[in-house]
Amino acid sequence: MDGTYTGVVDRIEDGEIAVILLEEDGQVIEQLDVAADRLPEPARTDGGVLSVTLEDGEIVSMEYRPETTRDRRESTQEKLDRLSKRLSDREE
Amino acid sequence: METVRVTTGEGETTETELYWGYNVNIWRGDGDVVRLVDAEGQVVMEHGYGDMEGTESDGGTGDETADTDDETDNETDGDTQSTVDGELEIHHIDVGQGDSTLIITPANETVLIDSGDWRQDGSAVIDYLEAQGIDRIDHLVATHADADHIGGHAAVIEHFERTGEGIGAAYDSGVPSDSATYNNYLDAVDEHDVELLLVERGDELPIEGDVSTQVLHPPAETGSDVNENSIVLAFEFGDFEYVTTGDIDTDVEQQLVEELGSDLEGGVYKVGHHGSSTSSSEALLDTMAPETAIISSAYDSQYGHPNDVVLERFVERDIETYWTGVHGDIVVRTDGTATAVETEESFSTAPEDILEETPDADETTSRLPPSPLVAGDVASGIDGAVAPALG
Repeated sequence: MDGTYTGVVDRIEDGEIAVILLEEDGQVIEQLDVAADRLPEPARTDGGVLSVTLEDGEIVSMEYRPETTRDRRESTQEKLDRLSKRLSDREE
Repeated sequence: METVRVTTGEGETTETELYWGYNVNIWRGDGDVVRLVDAEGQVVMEHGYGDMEGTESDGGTGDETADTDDETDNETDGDTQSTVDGELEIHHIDVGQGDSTLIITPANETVLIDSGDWRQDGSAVIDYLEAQGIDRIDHLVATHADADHIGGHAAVIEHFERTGEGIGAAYDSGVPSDSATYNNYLDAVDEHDVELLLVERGDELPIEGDVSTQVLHPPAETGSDVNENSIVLAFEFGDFEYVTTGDIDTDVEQQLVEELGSDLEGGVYKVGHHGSSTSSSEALLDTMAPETAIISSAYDSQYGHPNDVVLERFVERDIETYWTGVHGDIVVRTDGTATAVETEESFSTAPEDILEETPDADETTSRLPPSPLVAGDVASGIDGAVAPALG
């Protein structure tokens, strides 16, 4: 696996291992588990969207993408707000 | 002789009628006693549940008698807690390193709590549900947005909406994830017009019949942390209690212990965060006092789940322990009084035997890096160290 991918920090397991999901065309295609302290700031504490470059299947760089992170969070929140309502407000 | 009518329910109190203002059945079981006390604190009369005569005390003025009205009588006639009909089944599906639990209620409703890891894309869950003859999920819960919990959500929604009877409603903590996995789940909700409901403490899932499902967490105002705001559910069916905590950590557990106390009690504990050391604190275990614990994680969990520290706590408390890593699918069945557990694979349920079977802490640490895709030695913008040892 080679090239530069969009990667999202899905979670950090037990404060130690960061789970990064690589995407292609809006689908997750691979998962990378890396030591959490290898993440660039601020992804180390707040997750977000990264550009992850692989050579021969190994990570050669991870770059935090602040604008993409912000845009994605806004659009996901808007979608969630549009689609959901509170159970306590449900009329039935 | 004057008569005063005492009612547990709601109404307007007058000189001869006293309403306690409870809108739930409070007068319902053996051991419940109503005492009429005068202004000096002297017991005028006492009346035990089921004791229709009442007992006048020797002291006091003696010129009042208590009576019960129709509403109270109806409560007297109601079922006691342990008489429920039918059987409740809780299937902990072996999805490897992830979570997925199927509940089938006596009224034949289905509840799916989480749907496994993204890599399976729902296939393990869909296969299991099909084998059970299930063509509809009445209540689809995402405890939180991590890809090892909602990994099959989009596929499960697509599958049951296209080829089955669909999804009744989906329930979410309201804390989104940045991942494509989460986004695809929302898109599936959108495409198939699934009702998506955000839940908070104090809600009860609208499940039919005698099964009560209380939402204990998250609070109405959540922060942005996905794990900390996991949905915590307490199921009750007759005398049977089951608590599932998602991936909440020990800080949130402590908060629940302080705020909920004995409401947290549960005979069966679906272990938080796959048995991670981040969860299952002593405070939680001592408050909940479970007899049985059920852990969902892979036999060769790359994150060292379940953690030895947690299993040692189970040993100290003699908690019967099940783990999908060795037991495969784990099914709990109860009629509200007796409970039985069936497993796909046979293995000891003594926590010390499970502890013996998990890799020890040193082996777990040495597992990193777990895949050939980690640890480039030329790194830009990051600490260039090669996979620092953890511990």
